[in-house]
Amino acid sequence: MNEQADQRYARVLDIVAAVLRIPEVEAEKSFFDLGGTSLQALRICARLERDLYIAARPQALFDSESLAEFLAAACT
Amino acid sequence: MPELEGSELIHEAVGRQALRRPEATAVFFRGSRVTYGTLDAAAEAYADMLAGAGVGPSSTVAVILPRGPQLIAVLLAVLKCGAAYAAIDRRWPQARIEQVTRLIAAGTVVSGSPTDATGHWLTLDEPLEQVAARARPRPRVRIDGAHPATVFFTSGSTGNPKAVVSPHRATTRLFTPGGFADFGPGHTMLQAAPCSWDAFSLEVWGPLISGGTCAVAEQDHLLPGILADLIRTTEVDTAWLTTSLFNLLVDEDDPGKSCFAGLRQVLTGGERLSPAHVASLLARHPDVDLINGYGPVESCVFATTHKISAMDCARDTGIPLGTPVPQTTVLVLDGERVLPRDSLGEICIAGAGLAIGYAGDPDATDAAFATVQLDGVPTRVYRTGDFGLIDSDGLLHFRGRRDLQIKIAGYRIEPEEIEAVARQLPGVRDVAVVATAAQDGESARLLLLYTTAAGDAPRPHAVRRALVAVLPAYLVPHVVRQMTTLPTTATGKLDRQALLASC
Repeated sequence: MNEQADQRYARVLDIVAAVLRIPEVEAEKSFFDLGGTSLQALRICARLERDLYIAARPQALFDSESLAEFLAAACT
Repeated sequence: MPELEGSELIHEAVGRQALRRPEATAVFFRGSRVTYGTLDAAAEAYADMLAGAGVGPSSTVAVILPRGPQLIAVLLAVLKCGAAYAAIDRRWPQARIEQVTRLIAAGTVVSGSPTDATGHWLTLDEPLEQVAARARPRPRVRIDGAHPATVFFTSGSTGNPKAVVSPHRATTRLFTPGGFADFGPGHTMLQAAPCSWDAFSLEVWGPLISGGTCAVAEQDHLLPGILADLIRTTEVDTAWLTTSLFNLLVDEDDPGKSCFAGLRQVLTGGERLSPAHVASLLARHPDVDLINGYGPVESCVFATTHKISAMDCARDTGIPLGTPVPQTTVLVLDGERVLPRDSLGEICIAGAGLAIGYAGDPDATDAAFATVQLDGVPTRVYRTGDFGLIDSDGLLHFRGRRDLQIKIAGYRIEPEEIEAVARQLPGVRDVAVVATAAQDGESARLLLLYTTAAGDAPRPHAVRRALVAVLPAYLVPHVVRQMTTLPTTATGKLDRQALLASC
């Protein structure tokens, strides 16, 4: 992964952590493991679109086995 | 043209708009328009098909179709047959769909897939113009405004969902001219609520009864960007946004591409409003009419509404629920006694909005709907379970719940229903479902805590998977945790306060 993609990846994780109100998220955990709600998924996707121009479906957060899997799909 | 009188029947009120302005846009979906004339004729053609299958005034029809003009035409068709419809959310687990279909004793199921051998299936997305061409004159079914029209499902504390059956007039009463919002010609209302909610009635029948346009969102998730695009391309000027979605959109709005920019009327409610979010919207968009709507599904969509002013946000009593909608009376009772103004009691609702009852559950119906003496007249009321008061200005205020009911993202949740389902899972001994307090205008989160019998105890993931298979997504807890014991009170009851404190 190049540096730019790395930074993007980190910023997505920051958004997830901010919305879930936890200090840090581990990418191997799933959105459900972190106790995420459907409105939090919507909020994350709203920020991804607004701040990083990433179009992601909220349902994809629930469908992914881990945040890493979600990120891989969302950041490409 | 002579003044057309309103009808108490949903399909007749829509039919009158079709006669009056057949070329006007009734529904906007995926970039194309369906006129009133086409919608009404397509509904006639579908009604012909349903009547041929035996659907009549004593039937209840389950409709399992995606949101869009076809769904609306089929629902109108059911009503034209004199039957009641239950629009069922296709995303629910199959077990839940079968459970609710049995509950309402639906003799006919209309869906878009041929897998259900007992039902009727339609060709999805057949252009309604093509369907409308098959319309032929049919005799009018004679029913009145008290006849069943809609069925909505809500969480039940006994472990099973409740099917709320409402008459035509419960819906039509809401949309009299000069009411709480204008849905008529020149206005376009967003349709984004799941079809199984009574907000769906507001979004669809509000405009179609009034002669306006209903713009159906294709996506289930209303991201601010999607909403902004839809508002721009379809001229949506009126929207219902559940409190928590409203808060989210206010927080995450992109000022450069605001989703509120084209809106003139915003209806919100379903949960307690956040004064900070309301104040923020009114400051940024002072030209938006913001209306708080309150009411359980048993009084169809709304019982009271309140046009919110900036001053309301500063009240230490919270934003008022407001005054009753047409043909609706709101009372504050202590038992059977009507309380004077400013006294705290249970909010009870009377009037044309009341449901007929819960399908197949006369006991629950009797428990929730009581007859009280109102100025010496026996009056049927629905006991909401909400505590509140009517202030000296006649405005209703909310003060809390009588029971454990929780509102999350606008959904009404009875923790006992989830507990009852989880308790049946193999290896699970005791279960408690609690909600964390909502903060900063966000919704509460549902926590399920369970203890296990000795032996092979299911892990939290397995418990959650088992719940996902039978419950609609809004009833699936966000956090599932295994405990060694659940705290109890001195009387041996589950101590929910202690439980929440330990989470």
